[in-house]
Amino acid sequence: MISVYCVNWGTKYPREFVDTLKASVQEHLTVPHKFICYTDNPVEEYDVPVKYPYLRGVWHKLALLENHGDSLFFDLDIKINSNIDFLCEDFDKFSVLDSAPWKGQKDDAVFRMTQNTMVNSSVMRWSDHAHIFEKFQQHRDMYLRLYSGIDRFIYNEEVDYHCIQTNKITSWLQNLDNSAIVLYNGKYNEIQSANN
Amino acid sequence: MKYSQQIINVFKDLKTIAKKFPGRLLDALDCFNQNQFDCKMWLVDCLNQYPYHFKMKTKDSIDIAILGGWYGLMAKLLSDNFTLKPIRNIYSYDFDPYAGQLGRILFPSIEFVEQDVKDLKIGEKSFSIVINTSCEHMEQQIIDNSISSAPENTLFVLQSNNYTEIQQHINCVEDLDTFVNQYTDSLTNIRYYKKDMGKYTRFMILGVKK
Repeated sequence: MISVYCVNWGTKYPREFVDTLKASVQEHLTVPHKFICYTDNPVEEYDVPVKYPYLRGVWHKLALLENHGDSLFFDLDIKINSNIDFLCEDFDKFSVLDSAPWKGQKDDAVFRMTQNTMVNSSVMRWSDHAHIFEKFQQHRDMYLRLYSGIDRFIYNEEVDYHCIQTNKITSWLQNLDNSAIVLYNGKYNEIQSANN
Repeated sequence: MKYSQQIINVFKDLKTIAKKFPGRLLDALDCFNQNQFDCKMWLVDCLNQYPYHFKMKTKDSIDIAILGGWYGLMAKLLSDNFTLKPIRNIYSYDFDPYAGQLGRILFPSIEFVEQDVKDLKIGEKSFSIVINTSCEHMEQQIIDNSISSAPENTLFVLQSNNYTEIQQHINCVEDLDTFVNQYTDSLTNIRYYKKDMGKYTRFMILGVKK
């Protein structure tokens, strides 16, 4: 039995995003699994209160790594179109996505000065990687000052990550919307501000 | 502003940082922003008005410790503007190894020490003044331990704020009274101040370890 996690913290995403993700996982993951939502507003039986209330936003994703056992994480702003069983391997490595396909290779001065990142944590996979969150907690104050999100922390702090090697996960930024998983990374920010 | 050798030197140092530590350049610039300067100069001004603590002291010069000293701005401002006694050494403590590496480029006269405040044994040192301008970033237990482990008559200068919107601020205080009350058992001759920073209020106390 694997654990499938998501995080819904604050008011950025309405509850429907969690319901949709849960239904999609149910439909497209045939491997036995348990769906868990870490949230600051638990309402469903599969909700778990965030363990570190002083953390905000995406940093709760990093705290999930404290959980042992074969685990997958999905951001709420993804769309699952077809079977995702291919993700259920190599749990012994902490794996994230390579953002080069939609970002392009960047290693210029601005990239380095802004501590930018070439990884994306919209999908994560792990089993026994609590040490990564422990490293963050040890000097949390400094990391929160230096990095605007966990992707930058993972990329710039010599975390032992691997990238999931697949063409079945794409970003809307690549203008591909029929892969097994499509990331709408940053898209919802645009929709929200347009609505506001 | 007149272009001068000092400005040339600053640009030279920034270029060195950009080359050696590109990921820290923006952080270093943040460290020297207007608010940082205002709060730390405010501290120096208030400290210079706390003279009676040093009247009976026989030491010719004193050692000062800065806890959570970052890239050394507090140490540098004290070094340039503290008037009550000659300074023998200013030690700027920070667990971040880059703090010292960058700080030494900018302020070679400051003694940067790579050490976590919670591991610092103040009782084994001879600091006359201990300064902590980052109380809102630290667990209260760490601050309390720094005071309890210090020798009697050590002068403590502490700053905090009520700026809870910042994620790193895990130990803000609601108001000046709350801040002062945290230290009435451990410090005496307390002087307290507050400063309106627009979005938030900064608090400061000076007090001598009982």
